[in-house]
Amino acid sequence: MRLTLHRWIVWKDFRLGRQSMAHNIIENVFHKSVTSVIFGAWYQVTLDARQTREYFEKLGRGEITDDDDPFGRSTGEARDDIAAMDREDSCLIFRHLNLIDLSRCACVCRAWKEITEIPSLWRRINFSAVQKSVTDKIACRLLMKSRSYVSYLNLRAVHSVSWDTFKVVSECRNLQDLNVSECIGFNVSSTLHTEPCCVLCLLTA
Amino acid sequence: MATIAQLKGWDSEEVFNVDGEILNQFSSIKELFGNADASNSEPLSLPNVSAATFQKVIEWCKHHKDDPSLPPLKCNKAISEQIKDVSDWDREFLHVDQKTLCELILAAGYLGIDGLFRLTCKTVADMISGTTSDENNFQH
Repeated sequence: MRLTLHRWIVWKDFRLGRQSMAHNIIENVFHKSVTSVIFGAWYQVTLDARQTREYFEKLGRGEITDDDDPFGRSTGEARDDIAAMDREDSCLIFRHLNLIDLSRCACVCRAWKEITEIPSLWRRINFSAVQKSVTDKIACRLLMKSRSYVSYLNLRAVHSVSWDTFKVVSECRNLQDLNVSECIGFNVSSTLHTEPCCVLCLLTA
Repeated sequence: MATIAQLKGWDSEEVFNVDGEILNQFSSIKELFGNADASNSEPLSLPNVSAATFQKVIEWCKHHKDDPSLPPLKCNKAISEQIKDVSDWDREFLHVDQKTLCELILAAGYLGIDGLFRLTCKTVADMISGTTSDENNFQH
């Protein structure tokens, strides 16, 4: 009787072991299939995103003009007088504008956005004139975009920018004139030490 | 001063007699005439300038004929330091609709009248600044 009981217990343990092993295997397979579904979907999303981005980049460069342009560039409708001018001419108009107006103009239409991206508009950046609306995020984005052109940068009395912005400032290789007076949190040695600006000739702190 | 150039807009046959003082301000086309007496040759048609616009351009040039020539714009200086404020006469002169203003810019750019070109650009910029992007339908 005891022997039978012992055998039965051994057999039961063996069955339990097998069961848990099978359970593990099934769970494993399930996880793998879920993961593959997730990754598949993720891959699709990134593929779509890339296609969309490429489409908009092409649109920005003006390579796609014919298909879904309901206003028709060629007919002259919806093409305003400023967009129709020479780029250099319209650039002179836009040079009068401050950063806020410039950003608004970039939202008006595609042609204006192209004009606002002319590098010569970004040689001088004056955050001081719009100091109330400058945040770290805005300053970083604008500076990252124009870091190879900017030669004059005025951050006077801009209190809302922090270390992140100054890190980007240190990447502006052609910066010649930097004004950081009344700026809280600016540390000359740490900013200019990490990435020396070789051409910086005027620093107002 | 004697007429040394005869010009007309693209849209009409009306001929404008331009004297040397004014022609000197058209930096891009003044070389076309040089010192020759053009009074008996064919009037030159300006492809980008309408007669009405040209009339206004001449009016501006007459008023500003004694202005000193402007130094070229530098990229490394703020634009507001380089372009002086608009005078009252100019403000009154540029009190026109957007279409005329844009035609004036195109004409000034084409004829190479620096002073008028800078002035009109500044006026347009003043119109743009301070508006939101929805209001900013300069074109429609």
